Amino acid sequence: MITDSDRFSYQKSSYERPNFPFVCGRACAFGKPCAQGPTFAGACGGTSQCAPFRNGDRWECRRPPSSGGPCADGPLPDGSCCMQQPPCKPRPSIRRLRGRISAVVAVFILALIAAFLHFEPDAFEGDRTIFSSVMPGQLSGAHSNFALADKGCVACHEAHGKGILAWAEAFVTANSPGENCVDCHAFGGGSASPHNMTFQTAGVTLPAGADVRTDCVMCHTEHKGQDADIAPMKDAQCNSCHETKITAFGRDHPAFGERFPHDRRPSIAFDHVAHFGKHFPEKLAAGETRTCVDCHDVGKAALTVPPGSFEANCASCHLTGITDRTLRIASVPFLEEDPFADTDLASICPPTADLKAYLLAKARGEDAEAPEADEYFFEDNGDNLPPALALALGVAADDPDGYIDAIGAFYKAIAEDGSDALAERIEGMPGAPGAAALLAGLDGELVRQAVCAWMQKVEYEAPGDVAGGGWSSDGMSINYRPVGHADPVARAWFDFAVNAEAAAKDAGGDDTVVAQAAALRDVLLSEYGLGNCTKCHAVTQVTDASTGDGQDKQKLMVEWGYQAVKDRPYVHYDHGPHVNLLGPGTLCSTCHKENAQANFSASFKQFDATKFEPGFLPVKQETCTECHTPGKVRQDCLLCHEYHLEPHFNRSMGFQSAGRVEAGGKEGG
Amino acid sequence: MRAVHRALVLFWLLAAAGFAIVAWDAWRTWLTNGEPAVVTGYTLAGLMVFLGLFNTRKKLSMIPLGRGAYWTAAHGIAGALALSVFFLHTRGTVIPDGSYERLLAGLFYLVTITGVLGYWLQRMLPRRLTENGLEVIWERIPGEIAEIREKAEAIVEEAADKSASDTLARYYMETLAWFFRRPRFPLSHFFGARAGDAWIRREFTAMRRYVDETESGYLQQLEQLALLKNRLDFAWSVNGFLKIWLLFHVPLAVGTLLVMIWHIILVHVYLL
Repeated sequence: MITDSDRFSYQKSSYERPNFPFVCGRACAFGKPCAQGPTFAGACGGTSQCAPFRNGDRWECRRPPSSGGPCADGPLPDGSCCMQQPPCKPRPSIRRLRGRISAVVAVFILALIAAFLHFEPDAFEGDRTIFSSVMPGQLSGAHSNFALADKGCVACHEAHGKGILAWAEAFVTANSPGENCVDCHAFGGGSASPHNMTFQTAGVTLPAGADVRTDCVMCHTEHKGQDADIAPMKDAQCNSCHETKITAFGRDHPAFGERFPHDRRPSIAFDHVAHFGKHFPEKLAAGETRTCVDCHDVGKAALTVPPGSFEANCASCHLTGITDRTLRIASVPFLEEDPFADTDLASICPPTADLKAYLLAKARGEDAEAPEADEYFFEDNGDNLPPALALALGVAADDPDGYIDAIGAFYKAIAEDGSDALAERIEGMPGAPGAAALLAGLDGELVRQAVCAWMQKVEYEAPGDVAGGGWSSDGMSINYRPVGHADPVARAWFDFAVNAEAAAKDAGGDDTVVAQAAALRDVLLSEYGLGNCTKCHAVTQVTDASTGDGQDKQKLMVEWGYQAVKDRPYVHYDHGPHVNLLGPGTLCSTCHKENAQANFSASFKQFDATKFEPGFLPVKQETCTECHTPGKVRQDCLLCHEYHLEPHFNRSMGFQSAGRVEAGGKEGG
Repeated sequence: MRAVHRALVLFWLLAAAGFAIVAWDAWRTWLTNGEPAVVTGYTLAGLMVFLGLFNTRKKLSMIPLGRGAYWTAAHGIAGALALSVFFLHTRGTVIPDGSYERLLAGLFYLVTITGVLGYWLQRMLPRRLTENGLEVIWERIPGEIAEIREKAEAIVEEAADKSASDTLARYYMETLAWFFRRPRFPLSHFFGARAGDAWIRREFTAMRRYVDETESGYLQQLEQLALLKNRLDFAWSVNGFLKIWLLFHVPLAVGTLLVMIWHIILVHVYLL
C-alpha cells in the first residue's frame, strides 16, 4: 500500500525492471501484476505463481515472499504450481512505444523522400516542380522558363540524375553551379571578378580582398520562389569592400563630378545654348517657342530621354546642308601634256557629240567642218586630282608630272573596261570597305562616257539633270551627292576616310599615299565635306579591340545616330519617374541648367571625347538630396548603381530559346 | 544559488555567446558576399545532434555523463538556441518554397512546439504533483490502484458480513466499482479541475442517508480509499502527460534529423 513506506523491499515487493520493453498486461488493465512479469521478448511470465523446486523426491513451493511466501497447498504431484492463472498479454512500455513510433516516422520519411526522388523536377511543370524531393524551392520566373525548361536541373547541377556514384563524387568535391550561369549570361568583363572588372588595369588602388574570385551564387540565391528577388544586395555589402563607406547618400556619398553627369561629350554636337538662345528665336515665328520635350521623347525616358529623329527635329533647317555637299571621285586633271595623244580613242570611246554630228553630216553628204580638239583642254579645265582619286591611284593630287602616267593609264582602263577599273582601284585603297559600299549606285556607263569625253578633250554632256542625290557628272567631274540624311554611301566614305591614314600606314604605304589618305579625311571632315556629316556627328578616338592580336589599338569612329552616353557603367538612372513627377517638359531645368559660357562646339573639333565643355552646368548632388534623403525617398546604393558591368545575354541563349519554340517545346512554369 | 541554477545561468550565457559568434560570423560572411548558410547550417546540425544526444544519454544512465538536471537544462537552452540559429540559417524565412524543405521546416517547428510544451509541462506539473502530496512512481500506479480496489472490496465484504445488509455491496457494485476499476477523470486532473473530488463527495453524501450506523463506518473507510485513489488518479494523469508528450517529441525529432541529413546531402551534391 502506498501509505506503507516500507512496502518496497527485498522481501515485500517483486523486482522491477523499468528498462524492459514490455510491461505486465494485468498491470496495464489496472489489475494486480504478477511477481514474475513479462519476459524480455514480450511473453507472459506469470501463468503460475512459482516454479516449484524438486528437493529429493519432494516438490517444494518457491513462491517469493513478496507474493505471500510458500503456499499452504504446495506444488502438485507432477511438480507444477498449484496456483495457476490465465496468461496476460504484455504490452509495450512507453519507451518501446516511443521507439516504434520513431521507427515508423523514420520509415515514412525515407519512403517519402524516395518516392518523390523518383520524380525528376523536369517531369513536373510550373508550380509542381516543388514536389520533387531534390527541389529546395521553385526557380525564379526567368530561370524556370529557360534553364529548367531547356536542360533541366543539369543546366546548373552537373551531378543531377547521374546516379549514386556521381552523387558521392559531388558530395566530396567542390561544386560550382555558378559557373554554368555564363552559358546564358555575359558581362562587359570577367564573370568571376568583382564588378566584372579587372581593377588593376584601371590603376585603382585595391582595398584588401577586392581581387578575390567571385561566384554568381555568392549573391544570387535561387530556388526562393518564382517572384523572389534573387539578387538582394544591401548597402552594407557594398561598404564591406569599398573603402569609402557610405552610410547615407546625402551624408557621405562622394560629391558628383565637375561635369556630372557626363564625362564625355555626346555623340551629336547639338548646342543647346546656341539653339535656344539664337537659332530658335531667329527661325521661329514670333511668339513660337520650343521646349525640351519638343525634341526629346519623354515616352522613352530611361537612362536618357532620347531625342526624336533627324527628320522630326532637324530636317526642316539642316537637310539642305547635307544634300548640297558632294564628294568628287573623278575629274578632268590638270595636265600640261596629253597622255592620250597616242591612244586610238576611236576604238575604245564612243564619238563625242560634236564628232557624231560631224560624221552624221558627212554621211548625209553635207559639207561639215571636222571638230578640233582643244589643245589646252587639260590646262584650261583641269584641276588637282580629287583626294579620293589621288589616294586610289597612289599619287600626289597636286603633282601633274607625278600623276600624268597614272591618270593616263587609269582613264584609258576606264574607257576600255568601264567602272571595273575604278572599282578595282577603290578596293585597293588601304582600309577600304569595298566598292560595293563606296560606289553603290554608280553607273559604269556614266564613268566611261565622262572619262571618254575628257580623253577626247571635251566636256561631258550628261543626258539630263539627275533629280535628288546620287552619282552624277557636272561635265568636268563625277560626284556623289547624298540623297538625304543617313545616306549609306556617305557613311561608308566617312567610316573609311576617318581611319584611312592609319590604314595606309599599317599597309606600308609611302608618304604620298599616307598624305592623300590624310587629305581625304580632312576634306570629308571639313564643313565642305560630303554631306557635312561631322557638323553634327562626333568623330571620336576609340579603342579597337577587334584586331585579334591582343593589343588595343586606337581608331577613329564616327558616332552615327544618337548614342545614350554611358560614361558610368555602374550607374543607372531613370528619367521616367522624375519626368512624370516634375511634369514632362516643364521642369527639366531643375537639374539641367544651360551653361552659356561653355564653348560646346569646340569640343567636336578634336577626337578626344573626354575633352569637352558641357553645354549644361553640372547636376549638383544637392538637387538629388532634396528628395533622396532619409524619411523621404529611398537612397540605397542599388537605386542608382549597378553591380555588374554591362550585363547582357549570350547569343546561345537565344538559340536555345528559339530551338525550343521551333520544336513546339513545352511552356515554362 | 543552487548548482543547477548556476549551471542554468552558465548555459544561457554560453548559448547567447554562441549565438552572437555565429550571427557575427554570418553577418561578416554575408557582407563579403559569402554564404553564411554553411556555418549557420552546420551549427544548427550540430545543435540538433546534441539535442538528440539527450535521449541517448537517458538510456546510458549507467555512464557518468553529468547530472540529468544539467542535461535537461542544456537540452532546453540548446533547443532555444537551435530555434534562433534556424531563423538565422533561413534568413527569417518561415515557410520555405520547396516541399522537402517545407517538410524539414514543418518537422522542426513541430519538434520545437512539442519541446516547448514539454518544457512547460516539466516546469508546471512537478509542482502540482508535490502539492498533491503523493509521490508514486508512474509505473507502480496500476498496482497501487489494484491494491486499493482489493482493499475496498474487502471492506465491502466485511460490511456485508457484519451488518447483514447488502446496501453497501450493491452500492459498490453499481457505483464505486466503476471508480475503483481504473484511473478516472484524467483531463480534469490535468487541467486542475476537481471533478474527481466532486464525484466522490456527491456519491458518498448521497449514500450516507441510506446506511445504518454499522455501515456508516465502513462507508467512511471506503470514502477515505476513494479520496486516496483520486489522488493516485491525479498522479497518473499528470505523470502520464509528462510521458506521453515524448511520444510526439522524440519521433518528430527523429524525422527532423533524417530530413536534415537529406538536406545536407543535397547541399553538398548540388551546391557546395
